[in-house]
Amino acid sequence: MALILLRRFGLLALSLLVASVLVFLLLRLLPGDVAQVIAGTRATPEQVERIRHELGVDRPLAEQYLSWLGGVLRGDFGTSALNGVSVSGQLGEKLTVTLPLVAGASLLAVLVGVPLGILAGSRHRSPAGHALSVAGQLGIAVPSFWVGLMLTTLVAVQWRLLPAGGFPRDGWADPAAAVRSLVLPVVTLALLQGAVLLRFARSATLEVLHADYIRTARAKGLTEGRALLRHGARNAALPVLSVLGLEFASLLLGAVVIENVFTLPGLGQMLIADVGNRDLVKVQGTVLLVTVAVLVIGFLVDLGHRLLDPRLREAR
Amino acid sequence: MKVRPPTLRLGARRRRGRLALTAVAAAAGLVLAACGGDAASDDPAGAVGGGTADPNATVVVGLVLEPSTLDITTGSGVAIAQVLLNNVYQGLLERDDEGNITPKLASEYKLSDDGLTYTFTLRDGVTFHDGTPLTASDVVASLSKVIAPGSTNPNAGDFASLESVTSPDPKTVVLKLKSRDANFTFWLTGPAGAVLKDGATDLAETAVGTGPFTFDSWKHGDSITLVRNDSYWGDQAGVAEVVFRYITDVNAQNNAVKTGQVDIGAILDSDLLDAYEGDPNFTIVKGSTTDKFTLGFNNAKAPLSDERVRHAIRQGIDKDGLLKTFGQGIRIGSDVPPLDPWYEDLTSIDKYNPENAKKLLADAGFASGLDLTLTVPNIYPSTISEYIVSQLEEIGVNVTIRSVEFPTWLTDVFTNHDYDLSLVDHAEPRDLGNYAKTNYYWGYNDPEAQRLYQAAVTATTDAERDTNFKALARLVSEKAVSDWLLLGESIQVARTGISGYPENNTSSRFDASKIVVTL
Repeated sequence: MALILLRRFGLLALSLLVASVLVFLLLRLLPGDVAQVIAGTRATPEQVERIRHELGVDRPLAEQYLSWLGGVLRGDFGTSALNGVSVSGQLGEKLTVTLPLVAGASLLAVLVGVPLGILAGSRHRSPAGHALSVAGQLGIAVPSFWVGLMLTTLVAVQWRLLPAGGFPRDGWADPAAAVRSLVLPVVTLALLQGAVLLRFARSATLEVLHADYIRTARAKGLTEGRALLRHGARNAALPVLSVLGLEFASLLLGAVVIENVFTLPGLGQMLIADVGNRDLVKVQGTVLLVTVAVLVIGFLVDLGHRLLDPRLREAR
Repeated sequence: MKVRPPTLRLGARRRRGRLALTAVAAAAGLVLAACGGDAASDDPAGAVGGGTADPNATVVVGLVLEPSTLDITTGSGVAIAQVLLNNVYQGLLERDDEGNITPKLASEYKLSDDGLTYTFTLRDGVTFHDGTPLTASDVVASLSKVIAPGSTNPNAGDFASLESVTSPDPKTVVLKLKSRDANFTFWLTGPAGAVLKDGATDLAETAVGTGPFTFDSWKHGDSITLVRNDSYWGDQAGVAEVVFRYITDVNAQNNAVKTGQVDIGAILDSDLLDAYEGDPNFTIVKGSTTDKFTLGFNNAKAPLSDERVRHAIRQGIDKDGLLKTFGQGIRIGSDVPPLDPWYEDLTSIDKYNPENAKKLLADAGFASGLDLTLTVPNIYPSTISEYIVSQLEEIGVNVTIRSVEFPTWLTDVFTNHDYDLSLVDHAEPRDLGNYAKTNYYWGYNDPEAQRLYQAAVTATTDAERDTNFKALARLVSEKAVSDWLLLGESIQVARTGISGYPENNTSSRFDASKIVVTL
């Protein structure tokens, strides 16, 4: 196990390094530059050149990359070219919105989507099973921003039960207000995520239902439900866990649609604004952070697999 | 902004490819990068009588575009001045909602007979928000920095005529001009004229001025909060706190107004206004702007270097139809909006005439049609560019829309002049001088335009100034240097009980000092 962990960490570090180079270079391919954005349409070309020099974006790419990487290795993600704020500080602030949003939605999605998925799988021939399956399809097909709009119109505008959008200015200082502002976005996001999980839980259940070991268990006298619970659940959990991990990671930035609909000052919104300003140092920091999150989640999912599936533990 | 979150489905296959996942994360970032924000503009004011004013009120203003820095000395764009000018920062002179220029930090000023020397007397008893008194040295430092060699102030061009700033005594500031400048007092009321505390630091994140509001906080991606300056030297502001909330999504802004999360909000989509029509709880406020939606022609590059082609395109676009389609705005026939003293109705030049447009194109050798690319930043409503495409198709011009992010437009079009047609909102006030620039992106270099501009700015009387500006506006319209599609309107919806808000040009200046909330 120790060896596996060590190897994993080595891979993690290497992946991060490769990712940092890729991110850095790909962003340099974007047309437009931050100095021109700062200067706008009224400054002279000489002024733009001066700003470029002050920011150091006229230096060779390798030099820029190494100085950025050097900072990152020391825990310094740099500062925004436009307003000098610390990138890590901003990332931390945005995560206080995005993390609860995504985590809350994932939790809700698991609590609702997985049981329903199992139900849909084990009762796949009954009307309820069919209905659930259709509902899952629908949940995936309906655009989340539309769901958000509808929920806002009903719950916030018509019934005035919850705020239509925004996040308290003083953040979590008033937890009740913060939670209230996250309810609709979490539900919206969970709907899509839950639908995805439902589909996967359903097909995983269907798959194990037909597995030989379930038939054996049934032959030994277990009821279908007990056989599923004892022998099927673990196996069915594997793909569901994978999907959950992937969904969680992709939503850190992918929640931007929801952030936009509900004007939440989250990570995705910041990233879009930064790219629009070509504030590349901040973009790099954000993307790197999400990359780390993806890798770590992948790692955790992998560990989860090993815990659930003894076969993986034996195969080194 | 219609992006679905990427739903990745890797399911069973997932033991391989940690690196692949990394690449997906990176790509997700870049893909998201490609979708910009929404369109923006804002504004108006109104007056609602009755009730008792609540001096402890907080007023929440819904705006669209957030500034990327608070540093008014280095940041470009109108979003900084929108919240800070008049409210936090002030100049020697100030411009109100109607465009009237009055002394502010100066109690009075005089102009020498040769029109080259302004002498300002500073007002007594003015202090910065940190308690230090305003002195002439603060004014000298602020204004000299704008014109100093190596200045990165994007508005330095406003002070092109300014030669020196001196102060013979602590109460007097003398501005010497290189040449007469008919617009100089106007520019003093703009961002270049803001007076900051000498030696002030951390301008990007905070602001210390002399105005009726002190800067409280900036929550990035969300809001800027100002609080009343209780030791203000002039009339106290009517509310205790102003929160400027940035909401880019049109529907979200609309919902915030409807549910009272904001007291007054900019409504960009005119279709949404119907719901407020006749509702006693709300007031629709329309005002003017200087947002000139300009169809730029690359005058230096064939085929648009041919004046006939430019006239043809102008005559091929029915602007009245555009206003209907777009649902707001007013017609302009030049770069001059009706609020400027030298406005003249030039909409009769290149009137809509598709038959003549086809003839002009045939004369220019494009009887069988013409292919052009329209480069347009994605922050503007696509309605306008799509309308242009369909209109020009009818006269045989095949236009391909190239929707780009604003920084790309800046590099490709503005800097490198690599384009045929361009569509942007020239939001700056009094920017007719762009047509007298020698290397501007329109590629229009005309000594006659430059002569008229010089004659206008150095005019000794207002009448002489106006005559020359009028002639310049007419010249560029007659040469079809650009097409001016429409002048945007400032549209806000305010809840009943709020009054005293600005109505005009609110996307470049939102003076909150006179807002009153009645109970």
